[in-house]
Amino acid sequence: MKIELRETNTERIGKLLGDLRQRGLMNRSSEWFKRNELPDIIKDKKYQAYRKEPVIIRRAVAIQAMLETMTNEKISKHTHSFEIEDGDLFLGVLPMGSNGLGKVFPNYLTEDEKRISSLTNRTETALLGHNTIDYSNILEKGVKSVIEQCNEKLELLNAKDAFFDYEKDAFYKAVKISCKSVIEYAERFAEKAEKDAMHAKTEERKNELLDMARIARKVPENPADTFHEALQSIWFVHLALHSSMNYMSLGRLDQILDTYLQREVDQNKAMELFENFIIKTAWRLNFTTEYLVEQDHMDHNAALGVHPYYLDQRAGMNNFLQNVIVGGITPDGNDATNDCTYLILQAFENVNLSTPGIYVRLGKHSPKKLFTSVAKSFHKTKNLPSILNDDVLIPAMYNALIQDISSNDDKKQYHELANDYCVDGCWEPIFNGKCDWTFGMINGMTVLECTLNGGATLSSNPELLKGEKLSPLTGKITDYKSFKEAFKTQIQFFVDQSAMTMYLYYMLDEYIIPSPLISAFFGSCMEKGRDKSWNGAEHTIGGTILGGVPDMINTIAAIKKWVMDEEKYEMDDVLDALKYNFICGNESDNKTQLKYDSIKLDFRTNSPQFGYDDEYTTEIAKFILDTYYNAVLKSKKLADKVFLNPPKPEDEKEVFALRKVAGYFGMAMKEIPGYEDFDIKFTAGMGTFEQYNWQGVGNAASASRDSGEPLAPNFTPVSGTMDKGIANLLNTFKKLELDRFAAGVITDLCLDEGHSHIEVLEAILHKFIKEKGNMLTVTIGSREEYQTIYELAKSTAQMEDREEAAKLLGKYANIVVRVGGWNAPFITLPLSHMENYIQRPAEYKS
Amino acid sequence: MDIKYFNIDWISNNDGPGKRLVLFLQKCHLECAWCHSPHSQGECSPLLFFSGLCIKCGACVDSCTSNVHTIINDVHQIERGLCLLCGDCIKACPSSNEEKGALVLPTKSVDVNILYKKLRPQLLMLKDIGGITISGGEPLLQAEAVKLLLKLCKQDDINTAIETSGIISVKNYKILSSLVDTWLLGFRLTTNEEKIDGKLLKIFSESLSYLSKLPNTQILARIPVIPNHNTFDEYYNKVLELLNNNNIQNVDLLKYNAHTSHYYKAIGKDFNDKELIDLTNSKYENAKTYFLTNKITLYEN
Repeated sequence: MKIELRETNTERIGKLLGDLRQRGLMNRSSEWFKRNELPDIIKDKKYQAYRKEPVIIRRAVAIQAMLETMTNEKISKHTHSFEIEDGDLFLGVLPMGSNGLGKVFPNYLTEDEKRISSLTNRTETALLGHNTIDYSNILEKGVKSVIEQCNEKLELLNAKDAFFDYEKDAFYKAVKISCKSVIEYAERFAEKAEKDAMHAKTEERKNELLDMARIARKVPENPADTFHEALQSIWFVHLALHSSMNYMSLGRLDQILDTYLQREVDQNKAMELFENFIIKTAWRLNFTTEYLVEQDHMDHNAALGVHPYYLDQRAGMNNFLQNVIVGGITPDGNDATNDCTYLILQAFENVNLSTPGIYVRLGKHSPKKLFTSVAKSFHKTKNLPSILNDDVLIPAMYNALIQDISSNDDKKQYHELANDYCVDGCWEPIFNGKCDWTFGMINGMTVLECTLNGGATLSSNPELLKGEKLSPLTGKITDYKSFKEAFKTQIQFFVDQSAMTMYLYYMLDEYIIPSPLISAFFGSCMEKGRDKSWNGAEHTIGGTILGGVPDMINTIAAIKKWVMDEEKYEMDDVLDALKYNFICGNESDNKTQLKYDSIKLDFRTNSPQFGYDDEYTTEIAKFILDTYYNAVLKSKKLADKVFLNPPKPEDEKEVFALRKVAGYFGMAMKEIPGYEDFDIKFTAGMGTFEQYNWQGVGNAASASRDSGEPLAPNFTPVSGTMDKGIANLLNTFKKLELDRFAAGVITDLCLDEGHSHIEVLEAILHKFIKEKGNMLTVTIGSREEYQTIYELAKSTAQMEDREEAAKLLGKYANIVVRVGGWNAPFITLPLSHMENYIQRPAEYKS
Repeated sequence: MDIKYFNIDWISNNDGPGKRLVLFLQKCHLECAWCHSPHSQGECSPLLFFSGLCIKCGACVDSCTSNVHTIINDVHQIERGLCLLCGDCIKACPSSNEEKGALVLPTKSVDVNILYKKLRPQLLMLKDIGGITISGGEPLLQAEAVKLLLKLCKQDDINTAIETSGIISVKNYKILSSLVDTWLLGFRLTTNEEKIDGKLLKIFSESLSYLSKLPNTQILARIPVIPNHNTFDEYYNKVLELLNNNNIQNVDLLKYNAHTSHYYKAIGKDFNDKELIDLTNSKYENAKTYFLTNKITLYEN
């Protein structure tokens, strides 16, 4: 592409952005679909024919019903879901919903299914997503090709046949219903656009609307030919997925769209289309926290991964699990950066919204120009994009894939898969459009407490005696060696507990939340005739994510220094000090209080800290990472032995007994028809997502924090300690061998405004890639500005005029920061997150 | 060999070409009225006390065997004459660590190799967009240690700069000349009176003449513009003459640093900078006009 890309917004984009900002500052609760407006596939007479159908068909019908409700003129009066915004170039509107606020969807589960699912963490509104769609097939062949394929497959299946595969039959029928419903949705919008065209204010707008109608009659049913058609096609499918609970990510759009871009004469017009596309996907944003309770649609099973755990709903209110990934290399190993990479980056830079997320894959193969473009975007947007290190993640993904592949196999296909990796809606790496993902999270600080306290938390509750018993007795810690031994046992226990359930939870999905609309476009589902939730995906990854690692390192370093090396304190005194938050309950016991004060002081200000590249903390970090990584590999071995592989005859009795202990009475997964090639690849990663505040709430005091205070976000040095040169942190990464961690290790840098020179940011980027960091986000801000907004947020919380309060804060709506798993407008953060952010910017003296 | 420093700026935009790491060395033989690091002048910095960060817990009072600290009526007093610079109060202070906080002993004496190991990652990161600047204090007072450090830098092909007063014997510059890419030369031709000091001028001219003739070396002339000290015509004329004699066509005019009182307060020295501040900016503008009309350009980084 020869021409300069536009760096300012067009009138149209400016208007649409303004509309979104204005809407986001108002009370959006009325835009939600009410429960009684949604059909019920089980109760409504209209659907009575489906009541006894397999759950996958009922779910497909629910998808159809949802898309129909979204284009109901009457309901749209308050949901605005069947409208075309003035100036908008795309048809279709996403219903309200988010990771933090929950979603709405028609019920398709029977009473019995719902009651029995109370034993699990899944219901009809359980959150799905955490995957990407590879849109290339949809654009090249159209959704109609999937329907044709269903018809062909269904013709071969005969209900009268003795070996009739009713599950496959149901699968293809369900896929067909879901795909058709998307095409019908597009057609209804085409009609709407034609109607609106008749009353268009200008001839220009009339023509636009007529062209939009033409496109909506063509895609997603048929292949796309132009850039506009391609984007509209992606938008319809993305919208249909997100309307039907499947919060799927957008994948490697530069790879998919470049062909269409090359056909466009006017690149800046193409960029306007992409900017418009970004705004469409961001249309659900709330820019104020004033009206959140009314919008809370979360139910008890809003679970992610294997444990029922609670989200920080407010921090996740604007999280939609949708990312765009650009750059990287092609499956055959060549640099994949193209014209569309730069166009997409520039569009994100111009629009600067917190969603969708934009990730750039960088590596030694990337052109220097791409580094410069990213640095420029950091400088301008202060938060976009996020970075994935190809030099680290490709080997990590490849090694995860070939875990149990024999050395003689042809590895080419695995190289291609690893080269084509993506991240899902947060930052977990997956294989592009082919890979199911499930995960478990572990709070590392809880593991550490149990290590130090012999299997119990450091709880101050006297009724729990030594503490809450969570894990095996490992005895007292007497020296660093005994600490290491105990830690190995403890981390294995917690990893087993989390990782081993992945097989069991995987098996749940097909009976509660099958995904026919994803399966239509996903991996080998169509070929196999199996839903994504039923080994339809070509690969499945089960990631274990360890949180609080920087806090673990600091705490172990302080204990090692003061208890083990210098012998200034007794271990028991330190544990008591942490347990009681450095406060001696007995006021007359001045001696103990003085001891606690001294421990706190030495731990807080006189101990080594992670992030400065010193040998002391690096040794500890390496020990934690090695032990944890090996624990995950060990878990995989046992899980495979018990659940996955058919046992050897001599092991049968033992394995059957082990299954029963786990509450599983079935056969080995590979023995289940359709599961012959099944395998969950266990991967390890480190981070907290937005949970660093909440995870910290349950933990005793530690080296860097009081009891209940937040943990360090993701794999980032403790807030306020980034003051000895960014490069010293980056330099640590290579020593930690982060290319083992295929579930991602993400560092969230927050830099003071002073760093905001393109050359400096580019130097940081090069260093990060070279030193083999894993993933990186950059937020640029100043303590003063964060403090100002925080004070304003606190004072407006007392105001009577809530609209005025929203407006006052709304002035800062364009300040976006990283919140663990995603980016969010600063003004929408909980106060506790704001407090944490004020401490964060790494200083820059000048 | 040890090197004595009191501060590191990990990235700076104002100390030489590009973005640079700046190492500030302890000790200076001059006492400029406008010096913004008064604690750098002696062999070792006195205890710095930043009262805004003090929580008045009294831990320092208890820890000090020399009775340096007292807190009476919520006022933290420091009896500096008694201070042995032992650092016990810093270890006891919950608002301070080794590097920063309410109480700081900034001067550190570290083996050059160990220090370089600490600086190296950042220097390699900045290599293509800047380099290292060794500032002070007066770095030339530790010429041998600086030489070792610069050698290490040059092994990594790091761009090097030294900020110096020029008021030190040429033989010191000779020790370093082959290792320095840029000299940041502060023009300081006055003592603390408003007239040119002949003795200073002589040493400075010799240094300048030596440095400006070095091959492949850049000179960055830094001219402080401080009212009541060096903003008079005779001064500018002299500067211009020096520039012209040594073929220097570019100057960096430096305004008085408004945050200077910060460190004076921290070392407990009275300091009044009223007469140093160029309130209306007119002195600065005059200087600018003077040099521009005499065909000298202004430096921009």
